[in-house]
Amino acid sequence: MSSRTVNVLLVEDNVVEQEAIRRAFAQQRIANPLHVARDGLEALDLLRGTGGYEKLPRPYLLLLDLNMPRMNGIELLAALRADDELRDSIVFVLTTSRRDEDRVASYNFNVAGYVVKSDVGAGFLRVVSLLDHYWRVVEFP
Amino acid sequence: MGHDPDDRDALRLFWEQLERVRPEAEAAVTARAEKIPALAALIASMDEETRRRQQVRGVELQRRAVLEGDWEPYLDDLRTQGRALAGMGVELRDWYALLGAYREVMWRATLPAGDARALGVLRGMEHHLDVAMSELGASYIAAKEDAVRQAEAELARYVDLFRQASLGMAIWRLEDPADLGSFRMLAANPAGARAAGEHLLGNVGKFLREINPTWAASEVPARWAAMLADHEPRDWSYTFRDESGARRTLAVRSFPLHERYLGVVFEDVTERERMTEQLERHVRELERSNRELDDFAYVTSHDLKSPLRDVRNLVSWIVEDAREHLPPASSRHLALLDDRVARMERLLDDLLEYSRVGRALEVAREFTLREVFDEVVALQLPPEGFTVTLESTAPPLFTPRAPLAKVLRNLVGNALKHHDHAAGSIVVRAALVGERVAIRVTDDGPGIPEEFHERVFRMFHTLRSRDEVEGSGVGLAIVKKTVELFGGAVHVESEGRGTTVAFTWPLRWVQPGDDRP
Repeated sequence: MSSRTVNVLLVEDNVVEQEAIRRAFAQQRIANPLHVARDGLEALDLLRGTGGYEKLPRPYLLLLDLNMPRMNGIELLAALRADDELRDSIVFVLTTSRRDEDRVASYNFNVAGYVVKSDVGAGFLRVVSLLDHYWRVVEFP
Repeated sequence: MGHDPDDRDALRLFWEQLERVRPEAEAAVTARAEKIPALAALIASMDEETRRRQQVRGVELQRRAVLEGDWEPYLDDLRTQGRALAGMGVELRDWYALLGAYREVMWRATLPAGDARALGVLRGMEHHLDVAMSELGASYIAAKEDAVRQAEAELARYVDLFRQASLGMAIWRLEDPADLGSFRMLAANPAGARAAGEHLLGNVGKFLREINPTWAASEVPARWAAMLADHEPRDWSYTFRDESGARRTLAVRSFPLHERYLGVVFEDVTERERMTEQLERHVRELERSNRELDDFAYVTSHDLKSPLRDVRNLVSWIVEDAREHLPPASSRHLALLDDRVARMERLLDDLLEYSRVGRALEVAREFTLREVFDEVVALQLPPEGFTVTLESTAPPLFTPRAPLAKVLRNLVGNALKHHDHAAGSIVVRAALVGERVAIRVTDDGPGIPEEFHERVFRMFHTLRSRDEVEGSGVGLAIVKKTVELFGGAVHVESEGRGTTVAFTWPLRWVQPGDDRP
């Protein structure tokens, strides 16, 4: 059991999706700090403490959308796994894409899980609650 | 055949002498004949008994001619022999050699007598030989001429073939084996001139180095020489610019004929290559546009669905946050809004599925209809009162499995969804017909009027309002596209109540372009 609070970094360009996560966190009474990056490049800045951002303290966990401007989710995964300091980051892909190619590519970059946001509402709450359980139980790097 | 009395006497004298020296004369002739390959082979092929019988018969025929004046059977026999010997390739000089041997024996036996009787014997012999040999020689020459005429006629046909052929042809000969520059073109045909240029016919008789110095200096002569040595035909293609400067390509095959002759057959494949290239370009174009369509379908489904998802989220939050403040009409409108957005999402999902039919097919594997059926029914969850059963005599199939599951899922799903009673039964029947499995999905639902039997397979066509029965109108279009992809056809049968959708599925599926059985 991790003694420190897990920071959640949501990498998502859509403000409605951001709001959906925030609401789900609130409904599930999840108090973990939620940070938002709007694309892969911004996420890298946050994780490295560059570009005028404060470096995100460990332990942290990424919730990653795949379709984003500038640097998409798969590209961000490639950048993370190629970076000596960030390669151990825990990443959950949270996407609307059911494409096999996306799923295979994601798991090739050792994501902790690939979750398809199939429906809104109750289904989505289950996903968030799963994540909540995950970081309560799992030891972080 | 009339003879004067002197001749008759001479012939009789000759015969008496011949009878005396016959063994010696026969031995001399046989000894000489054995030096002639064609005759030696003939002699060796006959057994002693046959030879003796033929000899006895020959002597009898000869006797009747010489002594009794009955020449015709004898001459007839000689004519037959002449033709046979000509056919065996016995040369005229061989004849003279045999005659020489015979004459020598006769002269040696006769001359010592030195009198009028000897003169008679020899006159008789010469007379006999004149008659016999002129017949034998005539038939021999006639047979030879016949053979030549036949050979000429055959040759004329080949020459005709050569001239009329649509393939370009040329015959070359390496005149001096030590000089690769000494390939000379001995013949060429009009088709060759059409393919290689009109100058070709004017070049007949010339050496390669005069006709085409570039070729003469290239690896072509060495390749031809190698072919003459190993007797292996060679194929290659040759591209050049014709008189008008246009690029032309010839497909060329050269092969050894005999000795130092070689044949070259060639064809102008410029147009064919252009067509092939064009076809390949079209295929590439088609593949590209298919990829684009795939990308388009993906982008459409993702990028259009994403805002729809947002709308549904926003609607649900408004309802959550403002439930008690909303007038009932607004609540109902928001519910309808949510429903319509969900419908649009389904349409996009189905559209995506339709566009992806046939792309990235999984490999074929063996499975039974039963396992696919059970899986489909488990996923459809037939409502209370409905039964879905399988009656199949079909053997296990060997095809990609998911497409057939998708077809059955759509058909069983449709039958359940469109049923108008609280209870019903759906039967899937399957049987092997030839190389394919005929599958029929039959329900006892409301049926489909005949005028709609075609229309139901069209994209986005539904027979009832989407408010009555939720459906995108894509399901049967997917069924049709999938079945047709697997070489089958699908149709609807319905009279009054109940509907049957019938289609066929391959028992074994060979991927197009895959040559394995």
